[in-house]
Amino acid sequence: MNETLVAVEAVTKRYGDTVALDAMSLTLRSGLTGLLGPNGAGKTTLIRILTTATAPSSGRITVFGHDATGSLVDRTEVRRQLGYVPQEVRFPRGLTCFAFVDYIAVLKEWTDTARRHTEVRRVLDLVGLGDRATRKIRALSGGQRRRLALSQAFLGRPRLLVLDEPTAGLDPEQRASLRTLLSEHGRTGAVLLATHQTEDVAALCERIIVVDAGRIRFDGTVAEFVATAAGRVWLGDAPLPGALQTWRTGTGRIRSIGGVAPTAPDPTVSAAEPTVEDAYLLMLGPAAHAGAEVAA
Amino acid sequence: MSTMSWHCDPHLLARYSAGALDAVLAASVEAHLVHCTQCQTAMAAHTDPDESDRIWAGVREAIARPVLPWPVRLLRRCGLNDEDAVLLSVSRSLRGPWTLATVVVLVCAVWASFPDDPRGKAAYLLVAPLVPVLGVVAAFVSVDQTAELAVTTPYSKARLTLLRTLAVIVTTVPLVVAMGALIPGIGWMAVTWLGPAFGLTLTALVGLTWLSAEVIGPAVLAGWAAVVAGAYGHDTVATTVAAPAQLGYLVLTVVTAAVLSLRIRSTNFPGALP
Repeated sequence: MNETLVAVEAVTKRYGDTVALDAMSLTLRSGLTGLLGPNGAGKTTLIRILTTATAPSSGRITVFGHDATGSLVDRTEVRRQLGYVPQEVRFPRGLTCFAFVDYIAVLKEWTDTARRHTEVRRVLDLVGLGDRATRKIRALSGGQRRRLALSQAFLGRPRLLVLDEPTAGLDPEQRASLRTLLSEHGRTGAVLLATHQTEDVAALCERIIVVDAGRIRFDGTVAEFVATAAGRVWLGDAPLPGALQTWRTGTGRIRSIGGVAPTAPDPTVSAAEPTVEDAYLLMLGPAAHAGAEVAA
Repeated sequence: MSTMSWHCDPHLLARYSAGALDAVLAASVEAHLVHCTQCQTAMAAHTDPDESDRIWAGVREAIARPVLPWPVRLLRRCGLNDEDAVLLSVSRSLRGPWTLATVVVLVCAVWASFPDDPRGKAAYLLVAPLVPVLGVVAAFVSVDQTAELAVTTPYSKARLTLLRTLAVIVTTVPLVVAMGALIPGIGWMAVTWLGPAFGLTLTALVGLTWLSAEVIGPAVLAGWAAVVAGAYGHDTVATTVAAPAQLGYLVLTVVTAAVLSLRIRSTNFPGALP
């Protein structure tokens, strides 16, 4: 049974005259869901509303049966089930890794000192920073800081994990470790992963939601999403006329996304297996350029 | 693999483990164990793994436990609990106000050595109420950095706000009052500045639910400076803390406390977030 854990109903968010979210509705269940979209599409706004960091202009969000847009009591209940990693985490000055996670653990109502410290060490070990616990944060590399930001989200094994660009700044090995961690977490709770890294979505998520201009453009499985690009990706010796994107691959052949397919059989052109990135580029067109990471 | 030619016999290890050896022999066995893997393995049979794990956990705990800033250590000795100490040590809210308060008091003390100069009193009235205000604002400047994370945690933002504010007041107000009382000619002014101090502190807290600490701090400072400068210009500095003014500060305190209560209930806090 995979019940609805999070329900977003007709949520709109306005900043002055700008509509960041336009009557958006969606549901989340157990497992990993990828949230894709170009910069300014509304991903971060949706995440900030889901995590109760900001209130919507209208609409309703229910998380584990509690109204995230309702009373302070309801919002507090939602926050008790939540692990969140913002796109950018700024750390207080002068703290060690342990002190920072300990601080967040106190804010997450871990009152028993011994149990709290055990939990802090557990999450630091989880992200491979156990041996850096006493290091000052300012002495950490960018990737280590990102892992530190991630560690606090796992405090108390939250049922809803919301991650905004979690793999930014991580090397391939660290990204692989994080994928293992997230896939494990997705077996028992809901994980929402907002990212520009389409390969992370392809590797991890069962479901993809694509947002653009504050609206949902696609909501379905990864296979369904990739299928939208079937027959629209080509390999040839030259760029296809009208292609949205073209690049020379490692084999020396030109990969064309979109464009006019050859009307007559052409031995130099063959259909290629589409990827999540191809489908994303085709779905959003030029708008995708703002945020997509194109692997050349 | 061990390269030692001599090894501890099991009886010796058993006595060492039981703490039955004298200090010299125990130190000798300990020095040997550090380098001899064979004896380390033999020693394992004499130790309780659970006890060993507990000891190592304790060592790890002692190393990892963050060192608290000294004002927080002081508050811990006065009964502050562990979790509140963690919250205050992150905001680093106490060191700045203490330093500021000390400087203020020193400046006023020097100025007060010229009893005919009214500027000494004006300076005292200008700066003393701002000490707790700037302390509270300073606490939020550092914590604003984690506001995005902190706001999504279940911890009561009202309690967090009051904790930081009280910590600043507890560590600054007694110092400023005590030193003000030592300044000749200040009289009741040594305590009457508390009226505007409470009003301004709560005004700053209400402002922080809408704007960032970097905006609120200078705004409150400029506002109070304008009030004192205006009174000084009319040679009526003492009226800024006279009875009618105190009534005004009381009203301001009550109103801002009510607004703060409503803001904390109705929105996320602090308000540096859009």
